[in-house]
Amino acid sequence: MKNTNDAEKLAEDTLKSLDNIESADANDFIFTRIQNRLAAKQQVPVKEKLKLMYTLSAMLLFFIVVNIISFNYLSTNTNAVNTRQKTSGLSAFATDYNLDQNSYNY
Amino acid sequence: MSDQELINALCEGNQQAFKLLVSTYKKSVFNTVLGFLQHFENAEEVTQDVFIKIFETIGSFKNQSKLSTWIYRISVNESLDFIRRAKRKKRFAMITSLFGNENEVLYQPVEFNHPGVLMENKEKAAVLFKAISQLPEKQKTAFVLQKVEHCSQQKIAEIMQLNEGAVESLLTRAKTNLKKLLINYYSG
Repeated sequence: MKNTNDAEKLAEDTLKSLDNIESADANDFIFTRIQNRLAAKQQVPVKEKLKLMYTLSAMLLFFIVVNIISFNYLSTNTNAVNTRQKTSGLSAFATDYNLDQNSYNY
Repeated sequence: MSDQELINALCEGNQQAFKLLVSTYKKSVFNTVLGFLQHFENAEEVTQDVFIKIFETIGSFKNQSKLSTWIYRISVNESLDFIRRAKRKKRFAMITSLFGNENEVLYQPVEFNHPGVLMENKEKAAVLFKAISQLPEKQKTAFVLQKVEHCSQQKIAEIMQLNEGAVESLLTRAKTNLKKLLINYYSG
């Protein structure tokens, strides 16, 4: 622990410690490293485009498959409904006019 | 090659021009970044970031300032961004550590010895650099550019896009704050 005057004097000296500072130099291979990073950066968009293309293709394939399944399901069900409707219509008609009885009352 | 010829060549993607730009400005960029980050590996990484940014955005350079001023500005911004990101990561790591997650130490400022400092000043310069890292961003920028990169007040004003009076005021406040920090350090 220093007294206030000493601390102030040291602080002043410390503030002057950068007065004759010389510049630090960068690594000699910095240009090669920058070029490598630029090259790596340019490869990333190609990968991203491929990824996007695969995702879109998968989505399109899924959409087509869902449509085919839906079409098949709906067309099968529509036939069944039609047949059922036809059958129920006929039986209703037969019931109304008593045509569904096997015995005749003369 | 003049600045304008260099800029035109860079806009055309000329690799030789880019090599010339790197060799011309690498020292000032690295030295500025090192003054802010006080860490060699990080400073080298950010120096690379600066030149990549220059290469990618040279088309947007509008000749409103000198090329060197623009490069200094990018260097300062990239350095400050790096420090902000590191602080954010450190804060996040601290929060997650409260919940029991184990995190590696992300950014622990250690004593920094600038290679350009005279041998007899090494110890004091290390203390000063530690104090500089505690200054607010604008004061730190003005002080680092003046002391580490030996920029004139006019040049600092151009880089920071301020008037010279504002730069002078920033430098005065930086020195006052540094003195307080140093007195606290030595008397504590």
